[in-house]
Amino acid sequence: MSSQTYKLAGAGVASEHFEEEVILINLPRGNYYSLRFTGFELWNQLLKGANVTQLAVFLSGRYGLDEASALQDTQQFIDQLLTEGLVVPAESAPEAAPEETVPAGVPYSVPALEVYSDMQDLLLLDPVHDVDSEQGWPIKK
Amino acid sequence: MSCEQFSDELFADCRSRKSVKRYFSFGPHRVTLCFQGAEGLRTFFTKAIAHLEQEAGPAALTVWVLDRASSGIMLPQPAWDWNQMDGYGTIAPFPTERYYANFQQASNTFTLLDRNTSQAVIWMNDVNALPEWERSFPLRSVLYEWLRESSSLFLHAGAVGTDTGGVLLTGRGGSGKSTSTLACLGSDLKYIGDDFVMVNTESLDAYSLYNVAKLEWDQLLRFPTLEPLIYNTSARPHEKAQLFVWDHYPDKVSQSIPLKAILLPRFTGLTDTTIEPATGAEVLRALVPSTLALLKAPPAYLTKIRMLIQQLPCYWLLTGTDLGQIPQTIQKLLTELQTVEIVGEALPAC
Repeated sequence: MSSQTYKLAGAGVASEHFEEEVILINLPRGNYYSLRFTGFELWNQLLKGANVTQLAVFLSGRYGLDEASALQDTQQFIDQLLTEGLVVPAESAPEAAPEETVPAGVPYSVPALEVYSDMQDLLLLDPVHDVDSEQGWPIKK
Repeated sequence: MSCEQFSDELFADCRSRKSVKRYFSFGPHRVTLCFQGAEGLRTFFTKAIAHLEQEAGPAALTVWVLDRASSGIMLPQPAWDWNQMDGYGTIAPFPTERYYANFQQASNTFTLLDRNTSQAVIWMNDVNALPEWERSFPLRSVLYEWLRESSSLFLHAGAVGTDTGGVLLTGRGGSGKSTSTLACLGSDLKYIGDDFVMVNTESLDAYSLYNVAKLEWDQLLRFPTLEPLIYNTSARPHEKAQLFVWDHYPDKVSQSIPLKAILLPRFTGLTDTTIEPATGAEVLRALVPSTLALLKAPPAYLTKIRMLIQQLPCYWLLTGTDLGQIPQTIQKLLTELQTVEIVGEALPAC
C-alpha cells in the first residue's frame, strides 16, 4: 500500500478542467492528453491530495472492484501519468479530504490516459546546422 | 555588446534609412510597416493583409521589414552565442519581459520585438527564398508576441458571419475549415478568415487577419469556379493552394464579427449538413495542437483558449456533399441563437 501523493508537473505542463473531461498538455514532448470516465475521476481525487491507496479505495468503492484489482489499475494509471511526465511525486501531501464514495451506477472502465501525438509533427524543430558564419550569423546557403 | 545595445543599434539603423511606409489595422490595433527592400518584399508581406490597409496615421507598433538581398542591409554582429538559442529559434539571452528575439535558420529570418519601445524588425536574407506559405500569414509571431498579455487570442481557426453574429470554425487540419468557409462565399455570411483569426476574449469579437484561403489541391474539385482564381499554381502540389479572397470577393470580406458559437466541422460524406452539440473539451482538443504549435505558445495559452470556449456554445458541424447547405445550416443556427438572446436568455455555453 502506498501513501505517495502526486502533483501536476511543472514547466511545460498544464491542464484544463471541463465538466466530464480534463485536457492536459506536455509541450516539451509535443503531446496532449485527455482523461475521461474513471481516469477523470481519479485525476480529480489525485489533485485533491489522495494518495495511491486512497485512490484505489475510491475506485473500489465506486465500482465494486476488489482491492487488489483496484490497486493494480490505480498504479498502472499513475505509472502512465509519470511516464508522460504529467505528474511528479509530491514531497508533502496536501490536506487530503477523501470524499464519501458513491456508487457510480455505470460499468467500470479501466482508468486510462488518451495520448495525442499529432502536435509533434507541427513542432518539428530546425536546429542550427551547417553553420558557416557570416558576420556572426548562421546564414544557411 | 549586450542584447539591449544590439537592439538599440539595430532600431537606430532602421530609423536612419529611408522606408516605404504602409499602415494596417489588426482589429483595434494599428501597425505601421516600414519596408526596406524591393517591391517584391512589400507584395509578399501585404497581399494577405491588403484588406486591413488604412490611411497614414499614428500606430501602436512599428515594424521594419528588411530584405538583405534587395537592400543590402545586414544585421549588427550578434550579442549572443548561438548555443543560447532554443529549438524553436528563440534567442534566450534577450529578457523575455521586454523582448522577443527569434532566428529561423530554415528561412534565414530574424525577428526582434521590443515591447518597451513598441518596435519590431523582421529581417530576411532573401524574400525570394521564403516558402510560399509564409506569404499567407505574415507578421503572426510579432503580432502574437506583441499582444500576448492582452485579451487578444490568436487561433488556428476560421470565422464567418454577419454584423449581428458569426461562428468560429476550428478543427484539425483536413477537418473542413476551409471548405466550410469557402462554401459561405455564395451566401450572406461574410469571410473573416479560414485558417488563422484573432479573437477578443472579453468582447467575443473575431477579427480578420489574413484574407487568403488555403486549400488542399484535391479540395478544389469541390469548388470548380475557384480553381482559376488560385494564386500559387506553381507551388502545386507541394504547398496548399492559395486563394486571396480580397482580390476576387472584396464585398464578402469583413474585418470583424461578434461571435455567437464555435463550430467543429467534420465531413460525413452524406448529402446533408447537420449540427450536433459538442463539448468544450472537444473544442480545446481541436484547437490545441495547431494553435500552440503555430505560435510556439506556452502551455498557459490553454487557459486563455478555455476562457473563450466557456463563453460560447459549441457544436459539431457535420458537413455533407451539398455545399449549399453549409451556410444555410450556419445561418439557421445563428438565427436560433439570436432568438435566445432576444428573449433575454443567456447563450448556452460549453
